[in-house]
Amino acid sequence: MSSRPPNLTFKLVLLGDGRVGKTSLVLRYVNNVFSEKQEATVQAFYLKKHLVIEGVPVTLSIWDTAGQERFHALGPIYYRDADAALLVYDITDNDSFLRVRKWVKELQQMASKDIVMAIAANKSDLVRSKKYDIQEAESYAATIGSKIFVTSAKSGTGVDEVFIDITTHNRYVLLYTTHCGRPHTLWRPVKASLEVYVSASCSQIKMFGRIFVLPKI
Amino acid sequence: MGKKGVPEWLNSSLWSSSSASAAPCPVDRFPRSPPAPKPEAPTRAPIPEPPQPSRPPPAPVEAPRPSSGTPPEDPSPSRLAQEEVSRQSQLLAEISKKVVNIGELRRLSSQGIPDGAGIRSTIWKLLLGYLPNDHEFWVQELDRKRAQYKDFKEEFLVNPSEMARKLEESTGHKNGGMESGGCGFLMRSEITHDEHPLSLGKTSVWNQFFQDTETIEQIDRDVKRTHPDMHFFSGDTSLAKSNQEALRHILIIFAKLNPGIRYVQGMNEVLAPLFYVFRNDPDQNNAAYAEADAFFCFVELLSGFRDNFCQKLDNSVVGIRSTIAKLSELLKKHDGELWRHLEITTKVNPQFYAFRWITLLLTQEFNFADSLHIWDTLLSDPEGPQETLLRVCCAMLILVRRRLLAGDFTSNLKLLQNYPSTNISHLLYVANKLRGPSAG
Repeated sequence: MSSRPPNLTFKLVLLGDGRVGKTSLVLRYVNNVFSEKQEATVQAFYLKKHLVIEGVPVTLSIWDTAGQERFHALGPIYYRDADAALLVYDITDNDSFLRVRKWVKELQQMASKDIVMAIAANKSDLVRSKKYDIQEAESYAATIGSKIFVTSAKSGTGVDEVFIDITTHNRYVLLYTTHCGRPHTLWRPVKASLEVYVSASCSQIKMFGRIFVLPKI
Repeated sequence: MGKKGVPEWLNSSLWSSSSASAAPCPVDRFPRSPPAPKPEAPTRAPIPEPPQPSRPPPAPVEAPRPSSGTPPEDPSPSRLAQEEVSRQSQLLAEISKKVVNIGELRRLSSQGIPDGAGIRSTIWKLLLGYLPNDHEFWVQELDRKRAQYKDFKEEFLVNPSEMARKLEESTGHKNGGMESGGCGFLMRSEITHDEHPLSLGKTSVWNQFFQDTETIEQIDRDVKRTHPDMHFFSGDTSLAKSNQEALRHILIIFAKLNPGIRYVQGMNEVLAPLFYVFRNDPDQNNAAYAEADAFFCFVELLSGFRDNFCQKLDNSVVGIRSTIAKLSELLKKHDGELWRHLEITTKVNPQFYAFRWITLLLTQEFNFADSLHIWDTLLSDPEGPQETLLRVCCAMLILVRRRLLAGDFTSNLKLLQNYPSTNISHLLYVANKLRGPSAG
């Protein structure tokens, strides 16, 4: 049995109104750069990020989507099989938060039931003296079982945190099994109760993800 | 031939070697001349031979135009190839004729309009049907259109209170106000219930105004980030500011005249080349009217393209999905192996890359000067730009086929979303090969 578990890949999609800073957040996270004059995104852009969490090598396949309403109809192909969605709004623009609510509704109806969501209140650098008014957003996030992160793609504040949090909220279990008589390991998303996996012929399990209660074996 | 698998000419060492290496454009070794891998000559060879010996020599018209100056339009000053000089003089001759032969003009300009000659502006206007073929009507027609645009600006670029004030000035207020002017009271102006800013009526000009405000904000934000790397469009100079203002006016007027589409992100990118070319016309008077001219040409260009911007048509036979499906079909027909690898094996949905290629007419995939060359060809096609565009897109895939065939989902998508710089003449040559008999 190798000490290093196999690679785990997540598909993450960024959704939100136009000009709230989706592209800037991704570029800050993946390339650590920021441009004041980021051109409008008219076509979903694909990026990859490799990281190691809890000793597990993780690849994030990130889809940065176009924000304008016109491109909304093209959304499903990007979020349909996504593991996680990062919903972005502009902390200085209330209307952009309404768009987040619309996206959540759509995801709840159309996306995978287990999709992990987090909300980024972006452009915090534009708020003077750090007096964020995110109470409403926080209570809303609680109702959908996700969290708000105050971020600034410009300064970098909160960017790593939100991406890592959303990644570690994906719950996976590593199964050590045998396949044709040889040791075999694979990650499986934790959807049903863990017994399903345990009953398979595995001798040992490793968990990925934050909140998990080990069932009795 | 070309029905399935790879047509013979695709296996020419020419692009096999070029696509396999990461070097930007090794095809420069064959500047513009067709490799002739197939015995039959290409139907539209990129080398313009003087096609009609009977035509009067173009010499006299060459004189007034400086051909070796440095007009602002020339983004990559390089010495003109022999054939470019000859094409340039042919183009000059054509547009100097009393009645332009539009078919001949299309044929010549489809091979590219030399940058240095300062003729692209006039030729694009002819190709888009904005200038009539007959020189005699040019002045008249331009005056008419430019006056019409002035009216549009007056009608659409003022806010409702301005409109109400104007209305007042021209009607009722004059009689009442002037006569009782001596009594010392300021007259209250009549505001009808419908036209009050807080009116909820759907027809209220204010209701319309607030809806417009959202569109205008969107336009403002996008205009400011049009080509942030070019001084012409971006920065604090008065040039950039006035150019941004012109783009803004055009997009607002278009949005108001087309309530079914309004403004879609990316339209600024389609408008930018037109405005840039017209604003850099060596003729000062034409340059001064670049905004009006660009508006009408933008409308004309979008008339064949509008459906791609329209969300309601996304799933119809004319919408963007259907256009992308046509590209997929085209690739399947000309290079089945590549099509299978891309769409079946590596599961790269063409929508992931071709959406932007198509809706923005390739303005984002190459540097600005190269985009202008591609547009020369797109605008020259009598079938309209879409068919040519799809062939160019298909050629873009074929040119990097080696790398695509060796790639997986991630590397293929990355390659196509960040298309490498390439020899544009060669790209257009390959695109042109996809037309014609082998397709049948």
